Amino acid sequence: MTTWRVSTTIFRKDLLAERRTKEVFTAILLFGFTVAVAFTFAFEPTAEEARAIAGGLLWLAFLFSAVLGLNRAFARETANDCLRGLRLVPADPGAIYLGKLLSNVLFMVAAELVLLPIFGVFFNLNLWARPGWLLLILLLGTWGLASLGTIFSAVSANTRMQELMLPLLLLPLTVPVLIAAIESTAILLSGRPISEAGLWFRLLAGFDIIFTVLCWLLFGYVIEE
Amino acid sequence: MAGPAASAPLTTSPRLVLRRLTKYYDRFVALDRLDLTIEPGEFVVVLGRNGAGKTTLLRTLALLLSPSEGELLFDAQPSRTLDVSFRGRIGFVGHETFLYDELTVEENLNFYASLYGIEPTRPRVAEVLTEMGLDNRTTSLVRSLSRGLKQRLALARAWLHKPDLLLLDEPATGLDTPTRARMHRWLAACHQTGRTVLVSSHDLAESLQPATRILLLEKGRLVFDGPNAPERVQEMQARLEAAAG
Amino acid sequence: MNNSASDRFSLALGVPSLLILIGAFYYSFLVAPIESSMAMVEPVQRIFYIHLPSAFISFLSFFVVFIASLGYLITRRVAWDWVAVSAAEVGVVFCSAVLITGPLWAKPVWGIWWTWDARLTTTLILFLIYVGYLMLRLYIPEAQRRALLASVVGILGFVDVPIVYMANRLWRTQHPQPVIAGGEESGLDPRMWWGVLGVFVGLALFAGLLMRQRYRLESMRSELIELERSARD
Repeated sequence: MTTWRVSTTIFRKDLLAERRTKEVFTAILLFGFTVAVAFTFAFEPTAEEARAIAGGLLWLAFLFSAVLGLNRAFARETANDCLRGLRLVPADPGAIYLGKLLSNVLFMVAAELVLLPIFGVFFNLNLWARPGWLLLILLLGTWGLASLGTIFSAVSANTRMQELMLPLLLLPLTVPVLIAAIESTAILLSGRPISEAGLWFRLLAGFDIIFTVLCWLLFGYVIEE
Repeated sequence: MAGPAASAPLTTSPRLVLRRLTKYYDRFVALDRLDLTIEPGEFVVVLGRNGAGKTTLLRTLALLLSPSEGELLFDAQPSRTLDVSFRGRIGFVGHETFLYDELTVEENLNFYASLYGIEPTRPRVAEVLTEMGLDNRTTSLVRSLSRGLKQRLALARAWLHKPDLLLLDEPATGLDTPTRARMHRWLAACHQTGRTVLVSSHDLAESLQPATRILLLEKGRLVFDGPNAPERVQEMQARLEAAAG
Repeated sequence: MNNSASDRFSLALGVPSLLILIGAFYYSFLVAPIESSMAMVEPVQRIFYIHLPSAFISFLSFFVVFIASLGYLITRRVAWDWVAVSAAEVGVVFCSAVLITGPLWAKPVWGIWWTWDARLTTTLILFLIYVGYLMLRLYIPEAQRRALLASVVGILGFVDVPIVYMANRLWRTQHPQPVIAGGEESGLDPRMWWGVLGVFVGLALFAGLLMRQRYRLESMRSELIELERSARD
């Protein structure tokens, strides 16, 4: 109960702060957009091959921009030593993790929903054939990136090389999320039956559950002094 | 700052016992074998120069740090075995404000009140705002506040859940003389309700009046521990200057 | 710390390791038969006797990192952290050996330096995870915090390994591989396994020796810091 109250309180606080500053959302969105534009120079964007690898490009753009957004989002807690204020609260430290995870997922998905149609136009993709499934992939994949991303943003905040450490830790560990998200997006975009992506969905869901629970349990050690 | 409402009940603050409490970071010893007992209801000033260990001591008492060696007991219970809910009995004001710049005064307090499980939130927040003289600034962004107002809000945050152990780490730094005086009156009033108060300072002129006891730290060691008395001021001043030299 | 006792322990690992490795290499390179399908690239095929045992040892080392990380978080004894960093470094060294010998073997046999098969890809990701782990340690100067954060990464990283493998496995089955016929140990002569086993035991003892030495270095560093701490003023 306490955990739930603390997590939702932190989530609502982040929402309020973000509504005022929009810094995390904007960081993810602008960087994702820039990456999308950069990708169009790598090959003929409207060609058939472009569609075949669009899933990969999409998720790489999401990953890179997420790294930026996650660093910004955690900076909010390190300013004015707020994290120490949170640690004073009579609650399990995992609750802080869950609150930050929820807000990170929300900001990332929100930015991704704006980036999606941009990619659709740039690469001539048929995105809206099965919007429900697309949203599910987006949610599961983003949750996976954010689950480890949230704890690693706290880990890297302890180092002298914060901007470098986060991607260095996050990228290799989220390879399964990337593979599964890219493959299932490709299945969706190429119009193949969604049943082909069944295993990928299960992999994503499994990854999300395992790492959300594990990071929730381990977060207290990360913010300990 | 009007001071805690007269109706505030007398609390039973925990009795603090430190036994050879030591905290080190690699080569650096921040606290060196501190032996100390603080009875409920004491008003203690922790003096010492920068780096003497005041912050480490207060953070350890606030359960933010765990000792490297030795023991810290709250009412005879070792700190590491305390339930997480015990944190609700501690109020801590640090060097930084723990406030979110992009939220308003009221939003910051609502946030912390909700984290501390204060129900209903609004009446208590309104009460604390009045007590700290912040009720005309409720909708100001923290970013726009002066250092003095921020510090008052930081006090309000630490006071929301009516802790019975108040720990303040150099709370007077950067405050002008009138604000300082008000804060001391407020702390004295808190002390009147039976609460334990620990305040650290590197400048004794500002902080000695309401205290009942003085601790002096030097390089992590406790070098003086005694009751506060007017004649102490000279002695403490001399010792602080000697440590500086 | 009793130095002579520690040296005896290292000796107990080092001498058998050397003897076994000499024997095992002699057997593997000169005695064991050659797999018929690889007869034309005979000398290269023998890289297999280093490649496979190295892979086992690096996985084993990362498992030790995982156990030691758990050990540190549960007991808070810094010695667990010394075990973790020693095992991680040894693991990365053997992982590098796998990644170097893999392409050396693949080029003459399959005509390409690198193949994105599940095992090799997983090894590469593994390498990146633990290089990240060691990098992280490098950037946290204070011992206690370093041990805490490294333990968290050591646990998350190891739990990730089977998932990375599964994802790569699935991915490969959906994208048929180009020219490769058969897995690496398909149709192995049982006598070849004796060579692999021998090299494995020898290298494992050698890895143990490296870890032991690295552990001692870490414990001496810590002892030095402790001495400096008590010798201040």
